[in-house]
Amino acid sequence: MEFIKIEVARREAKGTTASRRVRREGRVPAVLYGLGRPNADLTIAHEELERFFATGSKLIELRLGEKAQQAILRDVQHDPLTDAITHVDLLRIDENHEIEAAVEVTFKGVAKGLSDGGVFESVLSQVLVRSTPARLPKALVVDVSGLALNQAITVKDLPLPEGVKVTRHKPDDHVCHVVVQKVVSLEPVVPAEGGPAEPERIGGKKPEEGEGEEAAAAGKAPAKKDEKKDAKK
Amino acid sequence: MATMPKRVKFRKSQRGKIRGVAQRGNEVSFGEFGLQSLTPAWIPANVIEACRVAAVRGAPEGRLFIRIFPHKSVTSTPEETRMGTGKGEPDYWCAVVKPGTVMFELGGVDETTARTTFNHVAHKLPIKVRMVRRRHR
Repeated sequence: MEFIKIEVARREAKGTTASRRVRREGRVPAVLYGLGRPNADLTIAHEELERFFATGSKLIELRLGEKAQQAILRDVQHDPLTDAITHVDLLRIDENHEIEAAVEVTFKGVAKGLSDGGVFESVLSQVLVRSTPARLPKALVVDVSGLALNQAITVKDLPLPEGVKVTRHKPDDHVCHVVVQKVVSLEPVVPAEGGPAEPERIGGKKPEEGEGEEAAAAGKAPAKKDEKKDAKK
Repeated sequence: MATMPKRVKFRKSQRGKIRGVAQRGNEVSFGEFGLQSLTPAWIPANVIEACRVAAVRGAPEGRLFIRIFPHKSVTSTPEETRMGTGKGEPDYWCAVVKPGTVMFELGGVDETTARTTFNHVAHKLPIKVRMVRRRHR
């Protein structure tokens, strides 16, 4: 994975109002942290970020005037409705030291188990790996064409480049598998007759015999009163 | 009546207001494609069930994830009832949905199938929705 150069600017004002002002100007608020140094509040031009995302790389070389700092993209926040990028988290890195990063897993081919009535399910869409920044892959491409029914590709089967180790996942964890299709009912779910019409009440008293009838009688009483009132009128 | 909670602390709830946009449950987390609400609404349990049936019919080979649940009871008073006499009895259960909530997700299907299926599901819903894709970071 290569470093993408991006021009950044310092952000003096903090908080919601200041961040909104930054976004109106076509820039995105960002924060840079890590390596035991104090956090730095930055802004990045929206077009620069779009260009960076298009490359598929996660490594950035931040340029602030004369200074340069290498970083990795840690988190991106989006507006849930407009999909606009609202904030970016960056982690300082040193190119000689190993880092932990999430790498996307992509699948190639059509599993042969699908023709036997199986369903392909991807369990892990990304895996956490540890390596030096230069060796970090953009994505791990897994060939699933040989996957038969009830077979799985596990973490230990992943095609890892040299110097890249998977962390936090167990070797037997499934990355993807082809399983027998579950029979899903097409009929609408209707509660069985005699089943509870209402949820059980937590801490509520269980209705004793005859209590339900009394309650029903109490409910009818106001109706009788109404009838009397109508008769008077 | 479709799904409802198994146990509740209170049978009846106040109406409340749906303010703002969804701050959680607003991303595709389980499948590859999702159906996101664009307007606030109460989605009744029978509508969720109708959506499930429509989605299973549309994509029988895929896996469906339903990410909303009817936690809220809605009461109603019978017709021709005089004013007063207290709050009505629970009529149905609904899910409170904010704009941005990903209500349904589909995995193991291609984009065309997902789009067709979600189009059928959208016809069952009383709100505006859109299809969203999982974000890979």
